[in-house]
Amino acid sequence: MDALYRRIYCLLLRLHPAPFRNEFACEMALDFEDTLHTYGFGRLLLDATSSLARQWSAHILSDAPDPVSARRPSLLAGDYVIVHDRAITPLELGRGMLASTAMFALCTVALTVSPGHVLGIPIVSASSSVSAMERNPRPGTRMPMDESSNSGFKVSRSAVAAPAQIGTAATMVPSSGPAAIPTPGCALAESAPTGSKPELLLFHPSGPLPSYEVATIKPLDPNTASDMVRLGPGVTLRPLSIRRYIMNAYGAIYPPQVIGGPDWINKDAYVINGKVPDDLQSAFQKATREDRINQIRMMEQCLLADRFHLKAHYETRVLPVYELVPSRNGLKITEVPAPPERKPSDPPTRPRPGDSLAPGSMMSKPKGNGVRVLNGRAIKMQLLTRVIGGDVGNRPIVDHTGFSGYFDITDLTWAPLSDAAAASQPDAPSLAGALEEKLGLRLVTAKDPIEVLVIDHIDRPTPN
Amino acid sequence: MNPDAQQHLPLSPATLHVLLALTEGELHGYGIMLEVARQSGGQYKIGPGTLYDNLKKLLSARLVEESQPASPETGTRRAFQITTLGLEVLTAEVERLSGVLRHARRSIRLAERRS
Repeated sequence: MDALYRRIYCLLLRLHPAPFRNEFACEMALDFEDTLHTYGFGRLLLDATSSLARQWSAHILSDAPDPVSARRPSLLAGDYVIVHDRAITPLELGRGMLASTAMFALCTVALTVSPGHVLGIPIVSASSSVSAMERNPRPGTRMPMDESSNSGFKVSRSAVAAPAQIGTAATMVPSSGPAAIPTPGCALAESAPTGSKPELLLFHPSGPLPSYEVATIKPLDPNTASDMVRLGPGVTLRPLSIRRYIMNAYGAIYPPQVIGGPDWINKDAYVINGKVPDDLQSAFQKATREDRINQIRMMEQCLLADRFHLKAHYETRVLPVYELVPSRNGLKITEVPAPPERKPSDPPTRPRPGDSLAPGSMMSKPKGNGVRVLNGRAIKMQLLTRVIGGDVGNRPIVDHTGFSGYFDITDLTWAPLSDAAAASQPDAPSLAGALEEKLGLRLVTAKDPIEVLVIDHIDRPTPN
Repeated sequence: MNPDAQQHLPLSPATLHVLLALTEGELHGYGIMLEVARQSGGQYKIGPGTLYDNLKKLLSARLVEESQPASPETGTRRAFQITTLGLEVLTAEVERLSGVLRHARRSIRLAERRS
């Protein structure tokens, strides 16, 4: 029900005159979230409707200045002191109400006919109940409609289709850090075509879970455990924590996507070795990388259920996120052709030092002073959000650029927040600054519905 | 009294409450709403529409200024603070209301004596 309320309220915000909407709609939407349960929706709806009428009246009056109104003693004066002023005539009020009603009707029709695309405003995620206005973070910031239409890029009308490309793109990420964890989570692409799905979908297994032929779990001293998750040739996963292992098994990109559980899942470290059954191993040779990863995930989920007695369920929760959106000056990179499709028999295209990047791949590596440099060739925005997501803490980054094409990224340089030496570099911009200056993209705060895994029960495993 | 402050009088109740809330320090929108409710003992609550309608006017009249822009990196929201002129206007309004109250009390007492 909250999602419906949010949609209605955001629709009302969109109906406000553009100057007011651009300056305050984002804050109003945030305040709506904060006050919904204390004030009640009815009161907030009445408040927004009154604001709508006031703003349109003021907007119309400001377009045609009334000499009588201009002599009002104070713009802040209450109505009781301006009874002699002809501030708003019935005709003007009628015009305002008519314009508001017509716009409301048009928006309603647009929502009904084309969910997720309202009056040309590109709502990138049809699954999000948060409106485009709510995603407009800063006053005076236009939504990316103009930039996208001028540059010829197609605006994505449904971000739920985005995870379908994540798996493909993620295969190219070098395994040199937490951001390189291969977490495709693309199995839901076909099951999420409607506008009611959350973003950052998790991996849902299809069919019965296959299991490892043999699996060993050995405790590891957390102080000596590597901070990286590595997938070796023998499907050996070396997680820093069981939470990280669960994240990988369920396709979670960000820690907030796994909720609950005892504290030890954040601290205990294990070396988990699983042997893939021979028949499945041979089937892997002919499978796509996405299929292989999905099979591995299902075996990991099976192991978690068998050895850790994990019980969990999926939920959708509205979480604080960063949304990646175009800056008001437009995108500074141009679209490039899509990378060639890869066949299952193709060798992995993991880039090596010194090699040029293969199409569809990207590499993020630190320089000597701790400053991070990111290069990518024919990559999608979804992959970019995931790679830079490792540098903004635990807050997920959601792609709301609306650009579904492929882009080259050359020497995107920034000082990671976690690196004090890099942060002290006077010339190194922050990630947000680098994104805006180099790519024409911005990170803005928002709250979006995100799919999360809630841990109901988990036990420590018996080592073997 | 500052003539610039005088020209903004009288203030509407919502404007008065918003300015009064900002005397507590810089606040973001939700903070202003909470402070208004607190100062009025929960009897007067303003919604986001009323708040930003008033903030728009207060910003244009330079009675309030933005003290902190929204920052995506830190997750902070826009914060507002009252200006010197805003404080003068608020002071003038409170003095004006005090005069109205004095006059009202005297009138009521006279009316009660007559009746």
